[in-house]
Amino acid sequence: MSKIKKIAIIGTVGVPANYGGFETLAEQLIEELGQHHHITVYCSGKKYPKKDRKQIYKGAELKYLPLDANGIQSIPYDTLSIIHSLFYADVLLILGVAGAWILPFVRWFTNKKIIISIDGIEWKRDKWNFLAKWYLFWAESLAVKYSHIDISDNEAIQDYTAARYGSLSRIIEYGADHTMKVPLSEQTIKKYPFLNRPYAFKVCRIEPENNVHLILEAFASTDKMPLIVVGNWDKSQYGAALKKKYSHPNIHILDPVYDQKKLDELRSNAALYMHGHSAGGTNPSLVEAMYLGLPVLANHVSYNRVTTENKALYFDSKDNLILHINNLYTAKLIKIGDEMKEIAQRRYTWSNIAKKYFLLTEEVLVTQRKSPVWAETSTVAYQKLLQKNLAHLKTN
Amino acid sequence: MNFSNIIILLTAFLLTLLFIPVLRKAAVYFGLVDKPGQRKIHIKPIPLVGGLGIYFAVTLTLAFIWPVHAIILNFKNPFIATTILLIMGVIDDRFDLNALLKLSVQLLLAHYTFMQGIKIESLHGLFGIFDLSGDFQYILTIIIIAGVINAFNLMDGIDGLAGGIGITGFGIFSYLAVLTNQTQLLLIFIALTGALLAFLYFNLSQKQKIFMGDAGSMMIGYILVVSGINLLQNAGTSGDLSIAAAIVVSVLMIPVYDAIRVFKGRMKKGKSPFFADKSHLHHLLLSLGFSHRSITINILILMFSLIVIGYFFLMKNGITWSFFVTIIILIIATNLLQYFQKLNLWKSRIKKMEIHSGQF
Repeated sequence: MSKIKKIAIIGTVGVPANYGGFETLAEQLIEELGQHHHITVYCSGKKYPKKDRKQIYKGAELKYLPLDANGIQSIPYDTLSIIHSLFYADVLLILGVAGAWILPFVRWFTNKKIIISIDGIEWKRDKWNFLAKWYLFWAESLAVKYSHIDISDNEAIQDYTAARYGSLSRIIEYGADHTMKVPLSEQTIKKYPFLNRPYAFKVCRIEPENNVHLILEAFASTDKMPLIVVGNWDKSQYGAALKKKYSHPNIHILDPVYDQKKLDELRSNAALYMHGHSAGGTNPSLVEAMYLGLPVLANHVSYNRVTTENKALYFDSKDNLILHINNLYTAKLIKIGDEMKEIAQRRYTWSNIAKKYFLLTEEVLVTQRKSPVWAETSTVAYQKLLQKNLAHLKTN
Repeated sequence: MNFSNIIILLTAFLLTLLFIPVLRKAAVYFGLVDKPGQRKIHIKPIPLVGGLGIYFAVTLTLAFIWPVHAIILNFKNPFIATTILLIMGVIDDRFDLNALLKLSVQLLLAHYTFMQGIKIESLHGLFGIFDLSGDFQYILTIIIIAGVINAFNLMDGIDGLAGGIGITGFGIFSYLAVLTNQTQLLLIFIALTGALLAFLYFNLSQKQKIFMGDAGSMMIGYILVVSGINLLQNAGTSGDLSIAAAIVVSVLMIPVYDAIRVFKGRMKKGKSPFFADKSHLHHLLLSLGFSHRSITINILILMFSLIVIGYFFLMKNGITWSFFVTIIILIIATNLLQYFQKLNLWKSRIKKMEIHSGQF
C-alpha cells in the first residue's frame, strides 16, 4: 500500500450529505479513504451557510466555493476546484464532467492523477437545452480521453463508452445500506390510513423521464393495489398538472419527505416498488429499494435490467404495466423481493463501493495509460506474434 | 429610388406573377416536375418553372420596357451564356443529365465569359495581393464561376433558401452598384430582385408551389457570380472598391464554403464528391429539428451577419482580416452544427441499445 497521499473530491454539493447520491457517496468515501489518505472535499458555499460551516468533517478538510454545484455554475465550480487542488493533491477524484474542459491541460502540464465519474449519459437528457447538451457531449469526450480512469455507474454505460471511445470504463455503483427497514408507527398509520393494506411505492424526481404519468395512469385504471408516490410535484408544470389530475382513491400523492427515517418508514413497508426511470444509469433510489428487500417492477431499459440482474419484473408500456399489476401474487412478490435483497447485499453496500474506489485510487497512483477495449496484441503484426510463439494471441 | 427603378422592379415582379401560373400548367404537361424521392424533402410533384419564369420576366423587362430598354444588348455575352445555362438546366430538370456533362458545360461557359472580358483581375489586397497575372486570372475565374454555379445549385434544398439568398445577394449588389455608380447593373439587379420576390410568393405558398429547379439555381448562381465580378471590374479605384470586394466575397461565402466542406467530407469518407448524402448546411439544421421556415431565416440571418461583420472588419483592419474573421465565424458555426448532428446520431444509437439490453 502506498504512502499517505492527498486526494481531492470535486464536483459534489458537499458534506455533510443532504442532497443526493453523489453527496452520500462523498461522505462514505471520506470514511473509507480517509483511513489511508488525506482527503479534501470541495463544497458549495451556497448550500452551507457561513455560520454552520465546518472546516473539518469526519477527518476530511472542507473547502467552500461561493458557487452552486449544479446548473450552469457547475462549470466554474468544478474548474476552480480542480485548479485549486492542483497545488497540493496527488489524486483528483471528480464527480461529473462540468469541469472536463480543463483536464487536457492537467494531463499535459502536471502529473496529477485523474479519476472521473461520468455519471449517467448526461448530455442526452431532455432537461438540458441545446447549448448545455452540446457542452456536456463534448465535455464527456474530454473526460474519458484525458482521465487516467473513468467510472460509470452501470454496465450499459460501459458498453456505450467502449463503442464511442474504445476505452474501458470502470463500473462502480452506489451503496444502499444507509437505509433500513422501519416498522410503521401508529402515528403514521393514523396519518395515512391506506398504509394498512399492501401498497405500491415510488419515490423519485417528478420528471417525464421517470415515467411518473405512465405509472399513475396504470394504477388509476386498476384497483389491485393503491399507489403512493413521493416527489417534488410543485417544482414543475408536469408535476403540478399530474398532482391535480390524479386525486383518485387508489392514488396517494405525497410531497417530498426529506427525513431519511420517515422515508424509510413509508418505503420499507411497501409490497411493491415502482421504478419508472428510463435514463441515468444505476439509480440510487432503485438500489435502495432492492436493499430494503422490496419486489421491483421497473422500466425495461437496459440500465434497470443490469442493476437488478434481470431478476425483477419489467414493463415496456402502460398496458404491459397494467397486466403485471393485475397478475401479482404474494409468493411471486416475496421471491422477487428476496432476490433483490440478495443482489443488494452482494453489490450495493457502501463498504463494498467505497473499497472499490479505494482500489481505484491505489491503481491510479501507478497507472500510466488507459487500456483500450481491443486487445493490445491486435496492433502487433501476425508475423511478429508467430516469431515469438504467441500466435494464440491473434485477435483480428 | 428614382422612377425608372420602381418601374423596373414592378414590371419584373408583375410579369413573373403572370408567367408562373401559365408555366405551371405547361410544366405538368411536359413532365417538368420534381418527383419526390428518397433524399427529397417534399411529398407532391412540384413544377420546376421558377428559372424559366424569372428568365422570361427579367428579359422582357430589360429588353422592352421604356425608358431603360436595351440593357440586354450591352450585356449580350453573359446573356447568351445565361440562356444556354438555362436551356441545359431545363433539360437537366426534365431528363436528369450526367454530372460530368453539366460540369463541362459550366466550365465552357466560364471560359466563354472569361474570353468576353469578364474576369477576376485582382484580389484587391486580400493577403496583400492585388493584380493577378494572366494565367492566374484565367484559372481563378473559371474555378470561381463554375464553383459558384454549383454551390448555388446545391443550396437549393429548402423552400425560400435559394430565392432568399438570391434576393439578399442582388439587394446588396444593388447598394454596391449605387456606391460605384454602375447604373445599368443596378437596373439588372433590381429587375432580378423583383422577379425573385414574385418567385418566392409561389415558392413559399402551399397551393401554387413551384421550385426554381437546377435551371433556376444555376442561372441565379451564374448571374450572381458574374455580375459580382463585373461589378468589381468597373468599380474604379476608389476606397469603395475594397468595400465592394469584401462584400461580394461575403455574399458568396456561404454557398461556396458549404460546397467545399461537403465535397471534402465526402472524399474523406472515400466517396465521390457528388455522392448524395445529407450533409449540407440546411440538412444539418433539419437534423436539429428546425422547420423549413426557420432554417431559411436563420441562414439568411447568418449571411447578413457575415456581410455586416465583414464590412466592419474591413473598415477597421482591411480586407485580409475581414476575410479571415468571416470565414472563421462560418467555420465555427458549421462545426458546431456538425457536432450536434454527431450528438443526435449517438442519441439514437443509445436509444436502440437501451431497449435491447446490452447489445449495440
